[in-house]
Amino acid sequence: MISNLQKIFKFGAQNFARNFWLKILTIVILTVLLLLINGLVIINFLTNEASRQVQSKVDVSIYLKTSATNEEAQSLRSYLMSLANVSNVTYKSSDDVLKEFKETHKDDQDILSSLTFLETNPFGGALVVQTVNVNDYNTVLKQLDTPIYDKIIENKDFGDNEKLIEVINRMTSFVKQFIVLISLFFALIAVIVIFNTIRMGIDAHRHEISIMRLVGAANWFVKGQFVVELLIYSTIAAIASLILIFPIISVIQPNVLAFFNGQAGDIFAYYRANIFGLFALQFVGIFAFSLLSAWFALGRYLKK
Amino acid sequence: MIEFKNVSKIYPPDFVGVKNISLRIQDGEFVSVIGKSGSGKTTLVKLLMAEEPISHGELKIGDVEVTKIKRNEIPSLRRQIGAVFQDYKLLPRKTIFENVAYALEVCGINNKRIGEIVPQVLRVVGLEGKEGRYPLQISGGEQQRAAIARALVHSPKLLVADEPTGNLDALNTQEIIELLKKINSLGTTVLLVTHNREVVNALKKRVVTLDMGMVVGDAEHGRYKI
Repeated sequence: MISNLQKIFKFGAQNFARNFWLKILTIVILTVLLLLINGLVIINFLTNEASRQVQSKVDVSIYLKTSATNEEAQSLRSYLMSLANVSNVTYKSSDDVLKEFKETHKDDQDILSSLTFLETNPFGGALVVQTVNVNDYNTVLKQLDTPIYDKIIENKDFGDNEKLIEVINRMTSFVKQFIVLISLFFALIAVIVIFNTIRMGIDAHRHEISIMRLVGAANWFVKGQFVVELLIYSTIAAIASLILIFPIISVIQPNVLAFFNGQAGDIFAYYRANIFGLFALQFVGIFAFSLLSAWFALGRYLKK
Repeated sequence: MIEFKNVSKIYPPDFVGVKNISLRIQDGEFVSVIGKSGSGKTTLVKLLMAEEPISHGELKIGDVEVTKIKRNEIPSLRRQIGAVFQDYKLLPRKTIFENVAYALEVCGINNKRIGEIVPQVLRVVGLEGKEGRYPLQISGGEQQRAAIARALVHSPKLLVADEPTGNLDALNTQEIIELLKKINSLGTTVLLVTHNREVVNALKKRVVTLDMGMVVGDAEHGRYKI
């Protein structure tokens, strides 16, 4: 068995060395396809980063009635903090809320002067809630729909955020679908390229293959050589695309960081953290699609 | 033993390759199959090598029923049958040693064993000293010897020679026939397929005559006349 494998690798490597420029061209095409797929990976990363950035700024404000005591507010805060899908709850006293209101409307003298007619602070305290996942806000708000909290809660302000989150979810979902579709298109191109390379290889080695079969080589031995060739293509293309992607990242990285104000979008860090996973994914992907092509290309020929 | 029982091969749509052939070849026999072009000689070889499926009848080579053979069993059958052809089927970029070793390499035989077997068969066919030459650097007769050496590396029970002298002059033809006789004397069954009646008549061995895909003659020490 070991001897068989050694021979298959030897013959596969020899086949690879023949028609060298055709093989190089195939590798170049596969590398370009992988680079384009890496582009999609980067788009996916940036979309997620943008979505994460926006979502981190999303919160829901729970306005309390003026009659709600400090103890009741703290009790509600403790309850919210105990929920697994809540990441942070900030309490604002009625004075803080009034101060914020004045700050927001500092240019509107009518509103500010109307406040002076009131003898007491018209605002109650507020709780600003952030959840682990942006989709958890509705769940959290539903949990507050009980008579106990109804008597201290004046209003829950989530309307605009809800629309925003819906847009973000729709956008990320669209980007993901787009990426899958484009990746499948690239995969199809890879399958066609490999298919034709193998068929050309078969044509070039037709005489040799016929002799192999004449002297009793098993079909899997003949196929095995092509699998070794595909292994070589896939490895070189996956390594080349990962090497070439770094200079490309270095060109786009400053613009991306500027867009995120340096707070997110570090593509380098993403690639460094996921280098082995990305390599494995690209290698396995290109190799699997190559095997599929080989199966089509060799199947019909070896049945003869 | 090789046994054809009412074997027919029909190529689509209705071209008859061989028709209703019944033939029995004992182990160690030297049988010549002769006939005009289109008489079914090559079809017979293709059926033996399991290159074409049999349309009707049964074909047995030793214990193997070729009629019922599975696709993954064909390589093993081919290792039991050495085959040589008119065009030698050598690889021009490989030396004679590499060409002969090739048959062992593609079957996964290790280099040590290859180093033992190849010089032996090259000695049997008289090519010792020419291992390092390329096919185009030796004569047609020597190329055919190299092809015969390659056919022998698996120690086959049967050697099928399909027009092995077709490209050779009289002297080389005689040498190849003598070599086939020598291989036969060592115990290998030889099936010589040819249209050269001088070769067959000189052999004085069993002759099977084909015509229009059918066996029209089968004689010990036969002479072929048309």
